[in-house]
Amino acid sequence: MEVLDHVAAKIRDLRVSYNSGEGLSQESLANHLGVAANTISRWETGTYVPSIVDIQKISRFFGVSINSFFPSELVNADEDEDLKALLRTARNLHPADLEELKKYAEFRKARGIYEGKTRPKAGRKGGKHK
Amino acid sequence: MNTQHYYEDLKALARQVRAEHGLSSPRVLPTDLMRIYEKHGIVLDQWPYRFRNLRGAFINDHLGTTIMVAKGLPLDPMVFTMAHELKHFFRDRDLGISYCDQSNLNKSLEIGAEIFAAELLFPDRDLSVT
Repeated sequence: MEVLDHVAAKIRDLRVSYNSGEGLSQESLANHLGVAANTISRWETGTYVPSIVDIQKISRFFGVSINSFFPSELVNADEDEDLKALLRTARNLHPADLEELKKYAEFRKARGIYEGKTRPKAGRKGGKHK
Repeated sequence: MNTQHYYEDLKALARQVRAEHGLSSPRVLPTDLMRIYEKHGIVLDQWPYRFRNLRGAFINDHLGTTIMVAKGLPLDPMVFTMAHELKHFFRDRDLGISYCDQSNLNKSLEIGAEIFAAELLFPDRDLSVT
């Protein structure tokens, strides 16, 4: 599955399975994220490509790692070791700050993966970056 | 190099950076530092989520060189943090990651970064009484 298809499917899966399967409407999710109501539909169908910042917001709303939006083969073990090594250096931080720094490091890594996939044809598939 | 020489070297580096980038007054703005970052290929991330104590972090790895600054900082602490992290780019980039919070400010690398930032923003020469 292409990265962008994976992202689109993940957004839909998270929304539909929200609250133990009760689900969340596209309008409600749009309100939480501060985007137009039809944007969610367009993200889920791949008509629009969410920015990495949008994906970060979605991941935080649903309480999942930003890594879960990407195929596991792209989030490979070697690079996870790099992330762990980076964070070991910061082990004396306040636990809340360490957790937030981890989210930032994951965001940074996800951006590296995502921008390589979206830069030439960002925005709509083949269109403007959103 | 003993500690005193290390700190003097960092002050000299700060003065060199000021000269190279045309910083001629004590009023250094975020845009001045962004210009320096851009010249050196450093990506600046203003992280919009809350940290308790962390002000900023420097990461240099296979994804590139990134400085993260906590977005909620008031202007002056933000500028100081940006200057502080710049020292890690010039002198500590082989370490991979450096972070700046209250727990590590007594370490020589961090004291050095504070001295560099102070000299970059408020050179001794400009503050000395004649």
